Amino acid sequence: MKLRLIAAALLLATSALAQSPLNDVQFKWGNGQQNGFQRKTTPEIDRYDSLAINVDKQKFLTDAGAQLGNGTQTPSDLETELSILGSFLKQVGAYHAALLNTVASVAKQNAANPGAQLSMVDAMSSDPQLAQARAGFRSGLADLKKLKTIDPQTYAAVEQSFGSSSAYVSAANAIENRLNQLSATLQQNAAATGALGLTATIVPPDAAARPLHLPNYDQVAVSSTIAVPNYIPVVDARTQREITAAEDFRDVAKSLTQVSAQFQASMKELQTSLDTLRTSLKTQVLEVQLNSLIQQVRSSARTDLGPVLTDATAARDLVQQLNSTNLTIDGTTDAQRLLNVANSMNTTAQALLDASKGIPDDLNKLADDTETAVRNTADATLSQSEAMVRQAASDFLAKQTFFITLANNLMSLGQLLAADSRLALSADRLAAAARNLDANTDYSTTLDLRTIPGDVHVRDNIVVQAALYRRDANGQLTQVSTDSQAFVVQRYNIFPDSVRGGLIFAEPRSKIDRDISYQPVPALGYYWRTGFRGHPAWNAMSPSFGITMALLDFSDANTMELGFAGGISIFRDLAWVGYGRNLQAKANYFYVGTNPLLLVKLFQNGGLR
Amino acid sequence: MPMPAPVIVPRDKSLDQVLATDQVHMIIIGSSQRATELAELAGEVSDRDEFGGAVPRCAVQVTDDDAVTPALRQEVGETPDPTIITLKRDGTVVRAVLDDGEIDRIDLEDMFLEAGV
Repeated sequence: MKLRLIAAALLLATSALAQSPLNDVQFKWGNGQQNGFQRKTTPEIDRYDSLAINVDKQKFLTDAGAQLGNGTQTPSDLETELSILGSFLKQVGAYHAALLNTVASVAKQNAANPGAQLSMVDAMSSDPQLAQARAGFRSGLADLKKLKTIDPQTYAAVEQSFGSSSAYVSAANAIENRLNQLSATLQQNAAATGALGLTATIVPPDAAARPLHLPNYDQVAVSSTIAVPNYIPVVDARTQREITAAEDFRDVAKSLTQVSAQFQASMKELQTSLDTLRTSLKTQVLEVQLNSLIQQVRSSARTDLGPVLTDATAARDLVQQLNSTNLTIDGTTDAQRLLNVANSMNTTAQALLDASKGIPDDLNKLADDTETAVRNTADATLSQSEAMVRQAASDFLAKQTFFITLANNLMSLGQLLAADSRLALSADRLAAAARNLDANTDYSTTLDLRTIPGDVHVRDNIVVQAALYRRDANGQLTQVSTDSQAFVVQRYNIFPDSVRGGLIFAEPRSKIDRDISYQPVPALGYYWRTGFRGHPAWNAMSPSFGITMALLDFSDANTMELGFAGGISIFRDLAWVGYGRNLQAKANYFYVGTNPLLLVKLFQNGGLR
Repeated sequence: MPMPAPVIVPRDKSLDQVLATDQVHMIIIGSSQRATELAELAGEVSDRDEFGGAVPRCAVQVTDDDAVTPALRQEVGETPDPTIITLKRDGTVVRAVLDDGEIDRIDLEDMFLEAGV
């Protein structure tokens, strides 16, 4: 009985122990709930469900107060005390549990063999597990001694309790009282110096991530109409992107070893624009002249040309960067080439933007410093250089609008190909959503999946990010801890996917006029899927069934040939296979296919999620 | 319930008699005020019948240096006033500690636990 009372007292006191504040966030949705952030699991959430994100305010403030500490690298006395009390209670709990085990084990053996009658005292002296727990408890006692200087009052209360007949219960009670007091102090600390940020983001596997609205945390727009379950496949923005990609890739498919002619032409146009820009700005000449100036300054006996040399070198480096910038389409596979093109566009655009910002300033500074040097000592070479750089700076300023427009166009082209999730999932967005902590506000919020604007597809990910910040006197935030939790959008029973765009390779199975083998053609797929609760592996594989429709070209006699086929697909309609009929050519065909846009995005996103 | 008092050697019993009992012993050697204070604290801490107290504990104050048995004396050597010695149930000396004025109930509990193995 006494042991049970002790257990209850310890449990009560241990419940007040600190943990990571972000673990005080609870997720609750239709089919489940989860405490804290667990990166290893990605629970499914129904497409038409709501995700409640509940924050246990009192506990969060206490734990946040402990983590925020005193704002320095050195733990505050409060943190140290909390850590000591927590560690001591854990050690007492472990010792208590080990004692119970020993007592139970001896009692059981004695009951089974009344003649032997093992000595409880001997068992307690010799049980190795109990000895280990006792050693842990002793280390807890040693830690407790540190309280003597940090918090003499609590130390005295605990120390006194060791003179009572129920020492450990009294000690646990004294510690519990102190932990309650500490909680209040920690909550005040957290309210004075903390902030909590929460964001939600939809991360589709085949498109850029988009921010979602969490009431009380951001102003992200929501859909004015609430989505309801539909059972007919619809054509949406993703379908259009996919079918466009399929058409682009048809040419790639015809010649798998080279990037399409259209694409090459676009690249050529861009490269020409770059070259034209360089010519009109005479950057090649400028680079040579700046190099010549640098050489002259270096070889000069004058000692006052240090600033000129620094400015000329900086300007030359930027001009050199501009001159060496080229769009590249290297790569051993088409996917790699496309990715390289996207990266190259971004890099080029960035180089142009850097140049447009830096070069005029650098050149003007160079001209000013050169003018000063000329004023100090007349120098024909320097005078010539000054005139040259002033002209170059003026040229840059005159062309700057065109310059920036070209850079922006390149940037948007690059981003179109390499749309990623950086912005929506950025730390800046999380910090912008941070709310100052106080004792009165409820930090809970809800994500209503029915009001997400734009397309939402089954197997899209929803990522909830949270961060605790330390707030200084000026309101500046410093991230103290952060975590994220992903959910995957799912529907159940039989449901339609939106119409998918794909590239199929149609192999005629009837006698036709032309010699065709696996003809690549863009196709639309009307797919339905099945989803089962409690079967995440099946749902991730996403087996679908449906019909595909494609414009085929089996015969020279028909201008339009429509193919209808029945088929199945797996992995969110990444791989297609089926059998159908060309209605005009009156020929059957077998097809395999894929979704090129999804395929490329999978390369970028690092695989199926 | 009155607090248990330490056994005083040689007033109450001889040290041999005390050590003959199957207990964990904490012997405080000395007759100073601090030694008496420590012996009383040890007596309080020894009064335990739960949570580890199943191994019986006994606090002893030896007020006369001559009352220390030759065997113990040989093992621990000189014992300035106050010195705390803990012994296992089988009589093995675990520790001999000189008081620095900072020893309190928590230290005594720790020493009892150490000897209880």
